[in-house]
Amino acid sequence: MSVFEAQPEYPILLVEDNPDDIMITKRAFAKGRILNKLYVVQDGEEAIEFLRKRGKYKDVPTPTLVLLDLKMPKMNGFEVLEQIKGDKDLKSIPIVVLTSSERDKDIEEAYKLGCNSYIVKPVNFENFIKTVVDIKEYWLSISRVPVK
Amino acid sequence: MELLQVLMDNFPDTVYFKDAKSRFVFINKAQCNVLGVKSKEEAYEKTDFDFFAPEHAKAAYKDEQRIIKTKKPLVSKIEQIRRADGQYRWVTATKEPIIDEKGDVIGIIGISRDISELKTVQEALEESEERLQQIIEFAPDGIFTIEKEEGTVTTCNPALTRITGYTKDELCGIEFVKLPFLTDSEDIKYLSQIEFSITGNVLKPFELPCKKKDGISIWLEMHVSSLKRHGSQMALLVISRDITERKLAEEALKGAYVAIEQRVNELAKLKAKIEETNKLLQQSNSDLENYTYVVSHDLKAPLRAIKAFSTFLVEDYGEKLDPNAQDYLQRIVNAVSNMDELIEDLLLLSRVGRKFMEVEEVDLNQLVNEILIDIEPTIIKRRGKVSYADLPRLRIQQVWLKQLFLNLIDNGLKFNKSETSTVEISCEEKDGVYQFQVKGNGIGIDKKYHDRLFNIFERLHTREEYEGTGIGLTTCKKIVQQFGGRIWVESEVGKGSTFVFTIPKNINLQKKEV
Repeated sequence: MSVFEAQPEYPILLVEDNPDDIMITKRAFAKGRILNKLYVVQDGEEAIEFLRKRGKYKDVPTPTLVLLDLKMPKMNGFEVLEQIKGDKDLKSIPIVVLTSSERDKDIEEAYKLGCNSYIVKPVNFENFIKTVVDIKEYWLSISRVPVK
Repeated sequence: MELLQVLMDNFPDTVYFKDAKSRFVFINKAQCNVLGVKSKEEAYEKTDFDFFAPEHAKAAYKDEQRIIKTKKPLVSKIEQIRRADGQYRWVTATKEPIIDEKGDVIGIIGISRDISELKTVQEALEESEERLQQIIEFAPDGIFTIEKEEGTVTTCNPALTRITGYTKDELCGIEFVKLPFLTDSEDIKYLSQIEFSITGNVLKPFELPCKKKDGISIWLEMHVSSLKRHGSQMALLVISRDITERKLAEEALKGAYVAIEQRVNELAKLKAKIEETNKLLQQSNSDLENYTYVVSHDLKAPLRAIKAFSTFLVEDYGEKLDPNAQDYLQRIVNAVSNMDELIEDLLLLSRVGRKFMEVEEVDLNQLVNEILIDIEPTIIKRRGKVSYADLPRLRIQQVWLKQLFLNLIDNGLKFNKSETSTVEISCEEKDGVYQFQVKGNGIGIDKKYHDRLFNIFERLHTREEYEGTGIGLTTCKKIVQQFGGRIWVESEVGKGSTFVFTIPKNINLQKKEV
């Protein structure tokens, strides 16, 4: 878990196992001037612990947006989706799947499990920044989400 | 004496007495009719010569003189006479010598019976029998009879000897179940059982395996019927037809059927094998497509990292790097772009096989127009001119048709050094298919490369000359194949290229998603 730029009222949780992608995402946040606080966990189990505020996460805030990778060790993105969307306390948190997979099956499955958006990571970094900014704009500025 | 006279006159046979010189001395009424006299007395003292033809009269005289001389009677001699009324009649004549007390012959007594009617019936009978005999002799089927009492063969016709190869002597007189041409079989037992048990006239024909005298096997079809006289069975009539040829033909036919059945079975097995192989092939193809897809994705993650960190390097340390280092970095970025393009093309190719559905009504004129709007920058850059006319409407997967035209138009513009790059798209209807032509005035392709052109990663030029991944035409081919059509190229170096492909009018759209 780490903390990036502060905007504590709208914290974002990144669930991503690849350190490169973590770094790239963080940089994209910085370049895109996204000031929200970014929490990072590196597998599905950690993500669930974080959201349920268990163990070392008992003092973390509830994120207003979750960026979720699909391919992860221990518990993959689908299982995380299933757990969150099946939990009445957590299911209102918007989840954006951010992944390399363009597989139709993956897309279909993710939406079936209740993801709010499905976005394929662009190869080009400039596009990546744009994507991250768009996500933030949409989910935290344009769209209204319940805040606890 | 008077009684005797009455009796004789009412006798239907002729009765006459003659003296030793064959002169009539007494005749009865029947003889009067034969001789044609009104009263008996008219005949007296006269001889046969007075009434009959000389030949007959002579023969009768001779007979009578012999009787007188030898005292031996003539019994039931059948002779033909011509009556006084001109009629020829058959008679049976009996003549006895009349001997006196001294033992001398003084005359003869004759009695003649008219047997003409009997004779006619007999002749008819003989003729009929003769005819029957000829029919039997001439019959193509073997015929023989079996006597009831001994169960032996009594008669047989030439056909039977011809069919079996045995002579009449070798067949007649033999007990029927021991006939030499019969073979030891179940049917013989059957035959011996029915022997004389048949009560009806005709038994159902049955087939019997037999052996000729020379050892050759034959088949006989036996027709058995009862020969009866006054309602009681006398003998069996057996007509045996040689059906060997028919049997052979039947067996040959049976053999042919078996052979055909075997072939059909083999074919079915072969078909099953092909289907299995096809299934495996399809599986392996789809595995390969999935594999390509997965690998392409996994390749993208590190690629993204390389690209991102190269960008970070340029952004954060660009000013501190010397021109050489900057050049290297630029090359890394370019290489990553190429690889990204390659992976995108591979993904597209694998999607053609994986995702092929969603049929919609497509106006090709509109579709091509959309493509031209999409690639307008490219057209302007290459000073290109793309024309099309009279394209049909199809019910087809729009996405893939668009990709197909896009690739071919793009190739036409790309591999082109003309002042104005032109691409002409046309379509003509041929039996059952639409045949499309995408004709460019580009650099052309040597004939020896035409076959290889559609292979994956097949590039005829270096990246410096023409950019591209070598996947575009492979994708085109795959799309056309999914539509059930064919694609080929007509081209020569320096004379432009025409890519031709067909799409069946009755397009078989498989819904498919792996």
